[in-house]
Amino acid sequence: MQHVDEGLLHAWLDGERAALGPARAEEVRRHLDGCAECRTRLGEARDLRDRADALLRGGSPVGAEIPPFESLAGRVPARRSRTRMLAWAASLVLALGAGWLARGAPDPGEPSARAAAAPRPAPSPAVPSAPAVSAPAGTAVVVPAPAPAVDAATARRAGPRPLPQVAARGDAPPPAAADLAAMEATPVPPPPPPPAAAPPPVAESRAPAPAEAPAAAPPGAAEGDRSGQAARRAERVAARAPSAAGADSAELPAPNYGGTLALEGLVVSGTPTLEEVLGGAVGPDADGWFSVRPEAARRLLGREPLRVRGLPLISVQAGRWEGRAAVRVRQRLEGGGLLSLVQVPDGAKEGGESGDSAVVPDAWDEAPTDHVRLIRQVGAIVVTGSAPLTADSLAALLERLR
Amino acid sequence: MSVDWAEVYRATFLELVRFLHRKVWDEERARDLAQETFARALGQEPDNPRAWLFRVASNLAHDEARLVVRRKRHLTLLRTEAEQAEADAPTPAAEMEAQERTERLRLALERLSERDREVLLLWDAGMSYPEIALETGLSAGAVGTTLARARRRLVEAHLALEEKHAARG
Repeated sequence: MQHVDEGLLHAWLDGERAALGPARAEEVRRHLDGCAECRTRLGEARDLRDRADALLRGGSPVGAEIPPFESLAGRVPARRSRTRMLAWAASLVLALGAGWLARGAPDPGEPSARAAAAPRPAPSPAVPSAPAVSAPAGTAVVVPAPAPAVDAATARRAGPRPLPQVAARGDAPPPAAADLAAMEATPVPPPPPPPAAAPPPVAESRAPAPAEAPAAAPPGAAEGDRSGQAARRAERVAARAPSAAGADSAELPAPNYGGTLALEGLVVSGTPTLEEVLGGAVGPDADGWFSVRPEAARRLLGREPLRVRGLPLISVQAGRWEGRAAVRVRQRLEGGGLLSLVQVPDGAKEGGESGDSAVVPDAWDEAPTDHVRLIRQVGAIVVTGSAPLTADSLAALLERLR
Repeated sequence: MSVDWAEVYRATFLELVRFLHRKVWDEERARDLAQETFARALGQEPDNPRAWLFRVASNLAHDEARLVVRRKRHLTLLRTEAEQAEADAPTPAAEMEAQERTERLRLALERLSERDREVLLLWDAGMSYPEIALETGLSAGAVGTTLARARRRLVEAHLALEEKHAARG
């Protein structure tokens, strides 16, 4: 045979004769026996290998301690300790806070309401009355609430003037539907011109149930009270985080629909089954969810899908979660993070325990690998988040959703 | 047959730490990633547990390298290291020498192509040629050639760094 090439020499040295195959190994052995030159080269190769090994060992000393195997049991793989972007975290807290605050704001009722209020300055007495549910201002709370909510941008722009909800009650979508109306428009059309004069606030103009909570207080009635502070804070939040605050307005990215739905345009009484909802949808995506129109999700849940106000919406999806029909609302966190709210119809049996779960209702692989991924159960809703910050920080944020 | 991860852990943990250390150059972080790798392994049933572990570890280390923002954790580590160093300190000279050795190895490895480096580190972590071939997509025959080249380049690069250091020092 020809001289043994360097790769073969190293394989020979490394004891990888099995990798060569018996015939080849025997060939090499015979050649080395009879070839002084190759034996010399073999010696050189050995020196090279030993020097490289010594460098690798010597330059990379690691302690010999092996932590007990049992210590792995308490380790949740997804919880990787990462600390970054505290400012980002702060902005998320603010955005979540704005979402909460916005829950107490008047419902826009119709798009023109925003425009009507927009030219007005939005001074402190933008006073949506505080919702009946008590929570500290700035705390994000995602719970099934009968009241519709408005985004932070709307709260900011609303100003002291209550919104013309009388107009919305008749032929416009009900307030609960108005929330997701922006999502359904692709692209989002510009709001119509403002009406010449918005109706004055009168008690009768309040929206009917389920829009009872966001009742508007008379202008200036609560100057300086907590709601007033809340509104000011929402305003600051909106100013600091325009991308989040504009989520429901014209900046809303086009929703991600998978296809048309069999239910679309039909009048359906009662709660449809998942199969009915999915009848015409295209999907599923990588983790088994079908993109659906908000209206279908609403019918499936029998209520408004929950979302965090002020965070851009990515998609509304339907699918199965722990054997039940469920809706998943996905929203974009700043810094490329992802928040998912997996929700089942009210009254469906709750599953799982609070806290971390081994079951992942989300396509974790989609998240950048430097993101922390967490899952929390908040009541009947499974909240997952992935974000470029520490597990602890994300956990704290998700905790606030409680 | 199910994988006895406890056994694999005992047999492989330090190799994995060493392997990771050459990628992240921080022993605590390497240990953390090694544990992370094993935590991910639990419940998995790969055909070749060792190969699976090194593949996952390699990916984790790769992700790690992509992090641009320095972690606060690292600062914590540095502080802990400083405290630890006070506790069982080798002589300052010995410590400095060890640091320089590590730094030279790091720089020398950086001069290798990514593939050469990977093959070298996988071999050093105890993987066989067929396993390395499987991990890297090389043919089994090419592993020896790649390894020979990687070793030569490492030794040469290291020598050059030493000479540079001597000339400066």
